[in-house]
Amino acid sequence: MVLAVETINLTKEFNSFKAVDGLNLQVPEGSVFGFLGPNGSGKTTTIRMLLGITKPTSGEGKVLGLDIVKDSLNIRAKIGYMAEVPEMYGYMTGEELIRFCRGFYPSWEDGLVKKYSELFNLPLKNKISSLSKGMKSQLALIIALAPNPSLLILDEPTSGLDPIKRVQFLNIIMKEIVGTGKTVFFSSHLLSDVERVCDRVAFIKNGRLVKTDSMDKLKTQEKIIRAVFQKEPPPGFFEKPGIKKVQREGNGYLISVEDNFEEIFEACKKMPNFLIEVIDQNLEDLFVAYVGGDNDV
Amino acid sequence: MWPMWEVTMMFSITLFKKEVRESRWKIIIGLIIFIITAVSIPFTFKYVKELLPMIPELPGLEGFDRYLANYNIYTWSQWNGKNLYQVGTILAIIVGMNLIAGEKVSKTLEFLLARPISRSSLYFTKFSAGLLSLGLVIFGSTVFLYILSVIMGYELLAGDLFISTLITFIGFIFIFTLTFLISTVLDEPVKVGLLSAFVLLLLAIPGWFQKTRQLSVFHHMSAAEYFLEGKFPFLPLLAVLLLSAGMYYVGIRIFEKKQP
Amino acid sequence: MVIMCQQPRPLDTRELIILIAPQIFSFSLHFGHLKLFNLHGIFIAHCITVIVQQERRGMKLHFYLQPSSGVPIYKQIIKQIKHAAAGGLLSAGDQLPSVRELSEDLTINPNTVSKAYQELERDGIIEIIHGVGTFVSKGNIFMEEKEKEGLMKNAVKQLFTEAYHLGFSFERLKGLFLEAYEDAAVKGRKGD
Repeated sequence: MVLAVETINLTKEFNSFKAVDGLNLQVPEGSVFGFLGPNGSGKTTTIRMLLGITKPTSGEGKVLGLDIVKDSLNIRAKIGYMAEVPEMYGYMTGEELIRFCRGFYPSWEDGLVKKYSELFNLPLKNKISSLSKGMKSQLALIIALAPNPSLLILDEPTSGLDPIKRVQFLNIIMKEIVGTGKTVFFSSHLLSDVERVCDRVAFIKNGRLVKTDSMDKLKTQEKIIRAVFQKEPPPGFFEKPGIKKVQREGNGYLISVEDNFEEIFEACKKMPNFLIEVIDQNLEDLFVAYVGGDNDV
Repeated sequence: MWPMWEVTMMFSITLFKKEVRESRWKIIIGLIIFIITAVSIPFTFKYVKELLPMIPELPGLEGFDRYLANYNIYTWSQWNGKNLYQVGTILAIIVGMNLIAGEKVSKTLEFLLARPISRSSLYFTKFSAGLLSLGLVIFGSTVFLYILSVIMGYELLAGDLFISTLITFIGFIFIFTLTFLISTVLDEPVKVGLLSAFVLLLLAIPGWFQKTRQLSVFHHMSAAEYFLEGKFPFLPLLAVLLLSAGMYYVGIRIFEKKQP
Repeated sequence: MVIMCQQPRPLDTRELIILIAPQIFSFSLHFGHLKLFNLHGIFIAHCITVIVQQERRGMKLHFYLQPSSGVPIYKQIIKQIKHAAAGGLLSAGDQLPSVRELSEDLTINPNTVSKAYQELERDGIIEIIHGVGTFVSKGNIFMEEKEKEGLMKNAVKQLFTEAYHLGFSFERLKGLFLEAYEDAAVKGRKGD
């Protein structure tokens, strides 16, 4: 499997605070990869290291096969990037900013720029400082797509957009990037967006990778089985591989499963029971389960 | 489209254009101020020469008449010897203080660093743009001064004027590089300007005393030795250039590690 | 409770709505009500509705997808196409939207659509003819009776589970069942 992004024990320390702690990330080429975690979990720092804006304290990383420390210039030539808050030169007009950015890249799709600025109805002759947040995001997306990048790295790209614009945004990313062997790597809090378009996700908490899997696997394997057995299950029943947590609930149990779901479910059904029920987990449930916790009110 | 791509390895044309554009008001206003100053020289020469015998001896004006001996020396005393390096220092600080700190304040540094440009070429491009802006103002106004003087019928030695201005400009390189370095360290342009001015003030102190005058950049910048004594100050200028190179090197090391 | 039209013939809009309504009832049973028991409490349904043009027959197939459900999107697509084919909404030879078209209309990953189509093709429900399009298979468009029975059994089981939790007696449940049936049957008759 060719990896678009790979990090090996990537660490970034700021004065003994570990913003990123031994991160081992693998993003397959051609995938749409969701990078999920609470605020301050190290997502932006990781992205900055991938781009060469920040240097790692230790560990390695490769983007499109290139080393993030030694080849960061070449990496940036092949990547489209959108920062969480697109801070661009406010005094420039959209047109001027586009012309400015164009000069940095070996290739640039003028046609794409024209197509999407018309689609978005962007007033390119106006100063960027006069644009709304949504328009700035749209402009930033155009600038990220124009160099025909092999990898698109987006940090919270759709926050600040209304629901209609969000769908439009994702749609454009799907159209331009997916299905052509290119990769999308994005961090987002808007889990519904992630659920729609991502084929793999990674959960990060306190700078560490907590879980990474394909979206489909998460949806088919991460379940909670609510069971009320007629009598206590035999010892070892709950030690089955794939069961990650068992909680008592009144007379019954809540069995949290992360793998081997079908097997475990069959086993539960075979036991004499009053009730066996499957509770599906959506991405929001998983997010809370994997990266929530410390600061719960 | 892209023979330019190889050029961006050391130097970025698109960034250079942006920097010059961002500095355009500094260039324009700088030129206006210097041109006005330049204009004053041929005009005041005649009147001051006439007035001087009529004014009673004033302290501080003794020996002034030697600067009125001929137009050349008068020009030097007013231009390189005074106005150019004084106002020019302020201009060099103003041009330099914004270059890195300004990007930090407007939060655009990250945007810039996310482009495929190496930190060293980013640094070099900004540095060059600043120097070019300064050069345009300094040499542009000097050329203007020369042309105006000739038009008004004065005799001015072009070679001397040019070399003196070149010497002064080398001093500006020092001042600019110092400010540029401070702009890399501090995050607010105004703070940068003030610190730079303060440091330069300290560096000017040796120039006030006869014994330590050789240690002052400003003394050498004024091209006094060259103009008055005909000695081209090779060694001092070399020292100034080496110090500037040293500051540039320190600046680039700091910039390589800077977090946007 | 659930009425499926067995006749593959062109349907007008009203018939379509009548057909779809009970399907929603069954779908919500599958996807929605389970969440009532979910300890997290609030069930947020993100429904994407799209109208996918079926050029040849001028009929529009609604896809109700819930990205936030616990069921992967590709499975939801498979299920809806299977049901539509079995229920007569889609007939043999009908053209389905291409992977690109569907993913753009629904704003989902084209790989997801691909995956669904591949599985449907493996199961013989659809045929992908390269360079031409994707079509509902001319064979086997009706779901195996056994499979249908299995689905209904599950639906009934969920119903009983829910009734149990809510404390409904069998009599009361029966009453509701008959009521809903009457309702749907009446609507179906009106459309005839």
